[in-house]
Amino acid sequence: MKKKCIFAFDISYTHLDGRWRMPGSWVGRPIRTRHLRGDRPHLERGCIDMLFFGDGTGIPDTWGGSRDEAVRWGIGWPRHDMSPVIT
Amino acid sequence: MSRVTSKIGFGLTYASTFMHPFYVARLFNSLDHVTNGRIAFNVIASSRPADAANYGFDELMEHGLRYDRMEEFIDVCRALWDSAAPDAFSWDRESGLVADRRRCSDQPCRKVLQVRGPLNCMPSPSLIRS
Repeated sequence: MKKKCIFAFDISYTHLDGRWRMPGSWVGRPIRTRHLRGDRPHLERGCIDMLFFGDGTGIPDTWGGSRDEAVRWGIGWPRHDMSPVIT
Repeated sequence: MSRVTSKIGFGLTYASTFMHPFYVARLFNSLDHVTNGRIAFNVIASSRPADAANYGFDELMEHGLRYDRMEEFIDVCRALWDSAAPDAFSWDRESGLVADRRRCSDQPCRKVLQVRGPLNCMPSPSLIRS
């Protein structure tokens, strides 16, 4: 059988902390999946076969044993269930 | 369906007897965002032993207990949906400040369903409108 290589684009939250501050981020805009339409041709033309999303729900308390700073600065929080968004 | 419609709502069913309220509350919050507030939750207790067998139980939880759990399940979901105030978030690009910690609350202790919270999601459109 011919071997096939699958390219997955990893958009897990762990790679995205702090990205909301970058120019062009969607901060303050509601989530609308129709906004994603424009990105679809880019992904498929770029030979991406799969979008991958790692996930977790707990707010980190690694800083000073408290979750306060994580909530304040958006570290590992907020995190939506992305299943309905990426599918 | 939500991508090709703008008004119709979507009612989805989950059994409080077998699901965990944190998972369900988070999923419904996210679905509500994606659909711009068009999600409804039909919470059921399940009445068939065959349902219980799918979740690894030999018999279905007794009727009264199922409905006690459902009440608590709904309480927990509601509290989680309310756990972050809509105006708690600042998303300030300059300072990097995201949220006011004092307005993102943990959950009270309950009998069966212990959930610490807060829900790790932005308040959803239905909540903001209500």
